[in-house]
Amino acid sequence: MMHRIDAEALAYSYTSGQRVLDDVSTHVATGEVTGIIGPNGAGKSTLLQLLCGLLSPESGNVLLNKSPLEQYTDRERARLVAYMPQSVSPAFSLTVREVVALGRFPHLGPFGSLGTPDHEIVQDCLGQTETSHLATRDFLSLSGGERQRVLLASVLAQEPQLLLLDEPTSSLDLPHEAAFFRQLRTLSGRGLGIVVVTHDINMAAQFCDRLVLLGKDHRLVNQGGPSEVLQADILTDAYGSPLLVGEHPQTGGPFVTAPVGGI
Amino acid sequence: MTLGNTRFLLLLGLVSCAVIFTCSIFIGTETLDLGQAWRELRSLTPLSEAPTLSILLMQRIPRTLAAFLAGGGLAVAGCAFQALLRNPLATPYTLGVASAGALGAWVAFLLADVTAAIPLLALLTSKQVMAFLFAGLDVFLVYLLAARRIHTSPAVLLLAGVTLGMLANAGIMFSRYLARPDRLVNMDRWLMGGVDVLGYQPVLLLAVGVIPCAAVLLLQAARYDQFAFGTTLAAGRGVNIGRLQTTTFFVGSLITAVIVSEVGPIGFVGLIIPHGVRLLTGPSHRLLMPLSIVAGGAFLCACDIVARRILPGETPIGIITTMVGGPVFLYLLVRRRFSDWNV
Ligand SMILES: Nc1ncnc2c1ncn2[C@@H]1O[C@H](COP(=O)(O)OP(=O)(O)OP(=O)(O)O)[C@@H](O)[C@H]1O
Ligand SMILES: [Mg+2]
Repeated sequence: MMHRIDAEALAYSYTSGQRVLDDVSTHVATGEVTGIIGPNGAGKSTLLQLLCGLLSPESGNVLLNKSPLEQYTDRERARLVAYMPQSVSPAFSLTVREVVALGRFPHLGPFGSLGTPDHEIVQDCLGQTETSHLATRDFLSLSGGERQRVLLASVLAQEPQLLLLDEPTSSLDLPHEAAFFRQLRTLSGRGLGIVVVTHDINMAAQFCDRLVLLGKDHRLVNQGGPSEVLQADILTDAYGSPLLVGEHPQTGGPFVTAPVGGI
Repeated sequence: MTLGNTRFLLLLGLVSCAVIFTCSIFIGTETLDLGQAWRELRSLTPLSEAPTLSILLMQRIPRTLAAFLAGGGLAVAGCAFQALLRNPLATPYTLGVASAGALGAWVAFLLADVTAAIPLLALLTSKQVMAFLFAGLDVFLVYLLAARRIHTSPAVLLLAGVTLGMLANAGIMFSRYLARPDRLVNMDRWLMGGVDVLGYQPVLLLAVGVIPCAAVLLLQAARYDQFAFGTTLAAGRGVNIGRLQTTTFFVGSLITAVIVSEVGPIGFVGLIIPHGVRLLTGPSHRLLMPLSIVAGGAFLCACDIVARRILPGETPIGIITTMVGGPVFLYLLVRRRFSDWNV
């Protein structure tokens, strides 16, 4: 079955009168990787939290499978949509396996006890993110990149249909980042819908089916296929600073970089 | 934590609790002759003519039950507050709930003369009701801060709680200043805490308040686990943050108020018990909370044994929990640091 989130004319302000998101309409669906890009403070994280109901829009609607998001209970929603925040800091030490097991929450009964199938899912998610060898380590003792992979495992353990990730690769080295995005493609190939906020425009260009570009004026600048969105004039407008678009050395697709020494 | 380990810990906890429980019943200013009690029971003498049996039934057993309920309740409230505020120092005390409850009960003492004539008013100003009103007011003020979306840090909430607690203590001082001198002795004694209850009415009140509240808090254990990574991730997992905050604050203050109004303010149980148990069980609240109830209950029974037997006379239990709890906590602080907390 297809699952999708539709956002209609979303607006949001944290403090009244200061819009951090204005008139944004977009959609995400299972089987697709959608990238959200734009300058710092454009409202990307805010948009992601609106899409999964952690924030309620000031105006506009968010529809999950054509029904308003508010009509779902928190647990129903969490079984369909998972969200991985930009940064986390655990209050107390947990092992990696415990962290991943936390992801099972929306599927568990009132006492929150994990059954054999739950433990198997946890093990499987550790395997998928190549973190099995870390299972008994203390989460706090991991490196930034290891933490991000473990967090991915924990949102995967939630077994959602749609996975919303906020800068999941910000601490990964280049090969691990590429591996992470390849894994996102694999997951979307299995029918999962992925939404990923990232500052790595070139990874987004290579691995996303659609891009949503927010501008520094907190509005939607453009959305569509990577080669459609990644054009020098559009990007320069969105970031308010000149950007150059060339060709990717391997694929020939768009390749974005900032000019040396300004123009 | 493997399942076998868990079972072993649970068993160990329950056994040591049973041992302390038994000791608490048989150790006291007078050592009980069980044979004598049994003979008195067999011969069906009325309680008034059966001294041993009456001590057992009307003093030792209710007292042990009261200590257990109070200790378990304070410990589980401590677990809940710590989880919610993501801070190891959050307890009924540091949040000011206990002091506010004590102030409420204190006000009830003062009003007793005025309201005794009118039954309804007497009920409304009973120490239980007043303790809850004041504890609730304290929590409400803390909660107003918590509910302000704009990142109120747990540290700020704790500071607010500590300040409110100081205000409540100032209120208590003021009413002591106003109180009739002949009453002061009784009131002061209550302030130092004590589980020296007689008969079953106080135990019943404690049970009615503590057991359902503890059950409600226990049912939130899996949600508290989700709080380990903060509210955003917990909300994304389907935890209703607002409801969990409201439930915890409301039930946590209710359980504290009931306990404070019956046995007086007893400090440190909500702080050291969850902390100590966590060293054994790890952070999972599904294990931590039930074991904290057992350990908190056993701890207060043990302190009560010390109060009755080891120290002269009947030392107030609040003094003992603090004298034991303070150094133990300092030791944990220095030696183990908050190794399991990321603070
Ligand atoms: N809790 C908050 N309270 C007040 N303002 C906020 C809050 N969170 C974000 N903002 C503001 O809203 C705007 C959008 O923030 P958001 O986090 O959505 O940006 P972003 O596009 O994700 O940026 P980045 O690339 O730096 O992560 C920013 O100007 C930010 O300062
Ligand atoms: Mg962001």
